Amino acid sequence: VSFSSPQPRTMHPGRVPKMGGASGLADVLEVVLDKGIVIDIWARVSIIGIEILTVEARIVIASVETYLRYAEAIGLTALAAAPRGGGGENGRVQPPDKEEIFAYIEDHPEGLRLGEMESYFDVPRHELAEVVDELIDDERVQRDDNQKLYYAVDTGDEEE
Amino acid sequence: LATSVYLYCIGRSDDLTEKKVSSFEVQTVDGSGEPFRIVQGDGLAALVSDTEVREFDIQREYLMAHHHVLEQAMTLGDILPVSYGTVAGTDDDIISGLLQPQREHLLANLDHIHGRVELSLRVMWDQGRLFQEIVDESDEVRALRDAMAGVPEDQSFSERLQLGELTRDAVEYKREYERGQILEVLEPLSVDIAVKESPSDLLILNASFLVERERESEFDDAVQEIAAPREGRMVFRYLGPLPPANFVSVMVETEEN
Repeated sequence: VSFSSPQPRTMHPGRVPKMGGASGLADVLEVVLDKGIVIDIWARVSIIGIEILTVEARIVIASVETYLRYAEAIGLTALAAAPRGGGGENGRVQPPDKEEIFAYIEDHPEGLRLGEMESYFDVPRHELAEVVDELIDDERVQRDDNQKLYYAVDTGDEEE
Repeated sequence: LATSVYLYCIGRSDDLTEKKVSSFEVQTVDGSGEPFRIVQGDGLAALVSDTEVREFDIQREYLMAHHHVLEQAMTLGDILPVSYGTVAGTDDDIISGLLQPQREHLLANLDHIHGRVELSLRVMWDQGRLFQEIVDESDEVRALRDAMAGVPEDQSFSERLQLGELTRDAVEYKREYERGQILEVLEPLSVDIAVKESPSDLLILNASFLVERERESEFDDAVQEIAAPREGRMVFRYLGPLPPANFVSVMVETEEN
C-alpha cells in the first residue's frame, strides 16, 4: 500500500509534516466528492473513473480468502525476522547464516538437495529456500532443475 | 453554445464580493478563462463561473482546479463548499433554487464553521510492523506460525484458517485500541469530528476535525505528541486547514413534485 505524498509545507525530522492543503489527487477526491452542499438536480458528474477511490483500500471480506491472506502475512514475519536475528529468546531455532549455507554447498561439489540441507541445518525448508534463492540471485549458487541439485559456482568465474 | 453556471461555494455577501473574486489567481474549474462571478441573494453569495462543459468527469485537472478555487475562496471568509460537478442552468436557478429556500439552513451552517478550521488526520499501520506486533503479542499466533512453517500449504489448511482468524481478530482489536487512544487526545480539542469508515485493514483512523482557529496550533502539537511514540509503527497524513466540507450538511433534493 502506498500513497501519493504532496510536498510538505514544513518538514522537521521525526515530525509529521502538516500539508497546507490536499495536494494529491487521492486527497482531493476525498475532500470534494459528495461532500459539502449536495444538490442532486444540478449534479453533472460522470462517475466513470470512480474506481480510483478504491485504489488505496484493500477490500476486506470476512472469508476464507481473508484468513489465508492474514495467515500468509503472519508467515512472512518469520522470514522478515530471520536476517535480523536477535529473536532467539522465544526458543525458536536460529535461522541459518547465509555464509554457513554457502560453505556447506561449496563442500559438496557433487551437488546437494534442499532436503539434505534441511536435515543438516534443522530449519524449516521455506527459510532455507529463501537463503538459497538469495545465493542464486547473487550468482554464487546454481540449481540443476532436472535433478533438483544445488552447486556452488566457481568464484572469480564471470561466465554464465 | 449553451453556457451553464458552475457553482463552487456559498458565503456571506460581505466576504465574497465580485471585486475580491475578480483578482483570484487560480483557474476556473474548466480552465476556460471565464471570470469568477458572484450570485447574490438575501445576504448570501454564491461563487460561480460560466462553463460550456456538459459533464464533469472525475478528472485530475477539473478536481484540482475545483479544490484550488475553494482554497482561494477560504481566504476571504467562511465558505460552504459545494460538491464537485454542480452546475446550475442560470443565476436565477441558484437564487430561487438554493439561496432563497435554503437561506436559514445555509446561515446556520455558516455559523457552525465560523472561526473554525477543518483538519484531517489519517493514520495507517506500517504493514510489516502490524503483523510483527501481532506475532510478538500473542503466544497462540506465534505457536501456530511456527508449527506451520515448512509444512506444505495443502497439509496446513485448517491451521492457516485458524491463524488467519486469530490475526483478523487481532487486527480489529489493535485498530480499535489505537483509534481510541488517538481520539481520546483529539476529541477535547475539537468542536466536531467526522470519522470516515473505509474498508482497509491497515487503516486505524481517517477523520476530519472541526477546530477553533485559535486552538489550531494546540491541535498541531497534539498530533505531534500522538505521532512521536508511534513513529515507525504507523504512517500519519495530516492536512489542513481544508475547505470545511465534512461539517456542512446541506442536501437539496429534486423538488419537481
